[in-house]
Amino acid sequence: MKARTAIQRGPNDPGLTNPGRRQILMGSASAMAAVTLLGFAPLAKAEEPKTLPDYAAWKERNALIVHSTNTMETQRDAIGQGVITPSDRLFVRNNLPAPPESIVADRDAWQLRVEGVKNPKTMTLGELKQISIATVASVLQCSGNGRAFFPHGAGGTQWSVGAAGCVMWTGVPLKDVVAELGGLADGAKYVTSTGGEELPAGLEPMQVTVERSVPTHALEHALLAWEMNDEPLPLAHGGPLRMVVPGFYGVNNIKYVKQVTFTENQTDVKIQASSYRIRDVGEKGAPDQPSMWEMNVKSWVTSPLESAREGRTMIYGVALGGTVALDKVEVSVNGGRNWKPARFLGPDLGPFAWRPFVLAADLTPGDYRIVSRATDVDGNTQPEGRMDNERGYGHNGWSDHGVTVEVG
Amino acid sequence: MIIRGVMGLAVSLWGAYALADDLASQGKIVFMEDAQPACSICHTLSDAGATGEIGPNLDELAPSQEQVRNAVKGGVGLMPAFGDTLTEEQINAVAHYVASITGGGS
Repeated sequence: MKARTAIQRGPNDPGLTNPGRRQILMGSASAMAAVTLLGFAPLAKAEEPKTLPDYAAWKERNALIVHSTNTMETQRDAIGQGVITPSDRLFVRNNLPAPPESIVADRDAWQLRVEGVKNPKTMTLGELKQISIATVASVLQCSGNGRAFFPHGAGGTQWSVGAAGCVMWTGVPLKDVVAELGGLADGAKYVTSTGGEELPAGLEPMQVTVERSVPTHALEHALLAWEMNDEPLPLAHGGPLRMVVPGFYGVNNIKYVKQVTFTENQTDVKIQASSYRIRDVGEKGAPDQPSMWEMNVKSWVTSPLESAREGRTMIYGVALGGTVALDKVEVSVNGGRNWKPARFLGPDLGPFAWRPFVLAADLTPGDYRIVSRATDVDGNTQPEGRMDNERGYGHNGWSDHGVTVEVG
Repeated sequence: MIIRGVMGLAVSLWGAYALADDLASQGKIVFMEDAQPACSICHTLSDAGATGEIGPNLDELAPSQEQVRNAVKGGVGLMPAFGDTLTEEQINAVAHYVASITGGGS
């Protein structure tokens, strides 16, 4: 278990302009108190658990808000100016308890069954590594990132902006595996991936099996990944093997993947059929509603968050296009009345990665509402408001994602 | 006069307490038995002797009544919706029970 030390930062530390937040970290107040100070409703009234669960004990405790054993969010200011999110700061969301560490003891022995191809086969991870290899930078984001901003009290983890990170995935392109196995079987319209979690006794498998279908066009970029950020994929993030579908929300990136089936229909397990469906507030989930597949254009400021010194202030943030590259990010320091173009920071790692951005602003004492608005190359721009929906999915409205900063 | 007034107050307070307590007791039964699958399969809640580890630990989460009601009615993530299998009364009872026993409030 890691000690509760302050977050390590580089010399160009944006956190220094944010003394309120730093004091909270140094003091005994829980990170939940920080959430309250940021102005959105905390899920829990009790203090969050002090310690990380065993399977995620290697994580940087102070960079995370621990919502529960299976849900941990990256603190808003723990995302720095670099493109890649360090693994120990990346959020965690598990639908079922993580499998035991023993499944990563002999990684290459992990077995994957592939069905719905001309020559169905069970392959070991060691064999998959012999087919081909690719690396892709991609944003991993929970469908409910931003749920805390919905006023109707959407059920589920009250993620603010921290159920997202940008990481490097390394593995075998799924299309190369398909080619190796003779191509797709006739009629395949979906890629259906099944997680290898042990199912809890007393529950219907249909209710709890973590299995997701995505359209076969996802095959173009999907990866069976065994490394994240150049290290063996941690158990907490789906190791030894994870289905990675760049541009798609986190839930489609099946952890501990044990079977991939190319199917004519979507799976009818609950997590596909009625969960992760966009519908009006008060409505039940159903298969005819839009599924949480491709991500939308989105951005948010990561620093400053509460206070800044008078004069030149560097406003930092991150922006993603979802499935396409970004055209621009604009920043407003007066709640959206005037916008200035921000500058992208660091290398462009492709359409699925996010782009850190920065705007230098000269600020006189006073209160500022700092907001950011991203536009992708197809011309899609973040809306000002939110699209209210029962479960609080897919929020990319720029207004709710802004911060109020006191300059003095 | 005064004594009768105090007695009356005491009786009505007791009545309100008993009513709330009944609701909690009823909610505990919903939590442990009525809901199918039972809440205790997936959740930890020390008062109910529940040690499930599938869903959030309710002792730590300390959800409000409304949060429990919403979750039970509509389901959350893998959690099934119980809106069709539990009555409104049962859902209110289990929401009251979980929120009051964990200090989640109303």
